[in-house]
Amino acid sequence: MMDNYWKIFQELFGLDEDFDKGKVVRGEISDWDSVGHIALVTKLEETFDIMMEPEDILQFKSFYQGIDILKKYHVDL
Amino acid sequence: MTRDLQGKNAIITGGRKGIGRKIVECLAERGADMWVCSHEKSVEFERDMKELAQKHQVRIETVYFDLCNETEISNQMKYILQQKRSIDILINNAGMAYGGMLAMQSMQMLKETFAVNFFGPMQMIQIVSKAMMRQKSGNIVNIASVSGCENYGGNISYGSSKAALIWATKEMSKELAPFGIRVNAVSPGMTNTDMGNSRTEKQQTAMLERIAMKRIAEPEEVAKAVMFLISDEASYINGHNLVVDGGRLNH
Repeated sequence: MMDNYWKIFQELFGLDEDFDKGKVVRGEISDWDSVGHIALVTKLEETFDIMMEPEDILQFKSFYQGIDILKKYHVDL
Repeated sequence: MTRDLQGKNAIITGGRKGIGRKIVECLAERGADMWVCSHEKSVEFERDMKELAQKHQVRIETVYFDLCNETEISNQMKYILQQKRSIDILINNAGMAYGGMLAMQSMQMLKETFAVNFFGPMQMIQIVSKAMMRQKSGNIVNIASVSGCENYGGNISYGSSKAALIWATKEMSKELAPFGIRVNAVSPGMTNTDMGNSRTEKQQTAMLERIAMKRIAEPEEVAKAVMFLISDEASYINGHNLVVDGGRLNH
């Protein structure tokens, strides 16, 4: 599950396998802009079969924060 | 009639009567399967949809929710999404008209008009567009009104809610274009529906004077504009508000 989660970020934002996950932050990764964010959310929803609330979409600002947000939807990575 | 929409799935709100009912019929004729949404459950409506589905060999499922109720919208859209079918077309047709000057209406009425005409459609798009983004394709048409394009006084809640919908249509067309989704609006003028005929005779006469063609629209004439916008014939039309008013507005 964690591998799938990381692969989504890698594919959408063009990140190498050994990229520092702590630096995967919205606004700091060039492709993680507002359009990239919506693409990320739709891909996560599709992969984990969930429907995120707008508040969570707004709060989702980093790779690690996303892990906690997904727990709300019973996705334990 | 070509069945160019065969294999496509559409969601339409307010499909029980008026313009919405005619759009449902046009979609069925062209082979689209549908979720037809209404806030009012009735035996007649269920029978009507069943007959239409049989006649045109399409799948029509009725879905009920109140556009003023965020939870109901969310739950019913989740129900539709869980069916794992593509959602190719969304038509936000349902609306409510409430005329009157600002001084003569309650804030509750103003909020309710905005809930049905603006916030409900926004929530529908917010949810449905994510499914369309995954498909990298989709067509959204919002039924606005010429009342959202002109000011003649005494129409503050309806006019401003439709103006907001037109503005949001243009805004969303830019937001969703990168995902292959087109968003357009159709703005009917006076139309031969219960809503359109709710004006007094005096109001109707005054309105007719302002229409170049000196007649009101039939629902089919509005539905045809919607059919055009969702078709491939309109593949490069995005963020447009197609006014169907017989020449009432001065553009």
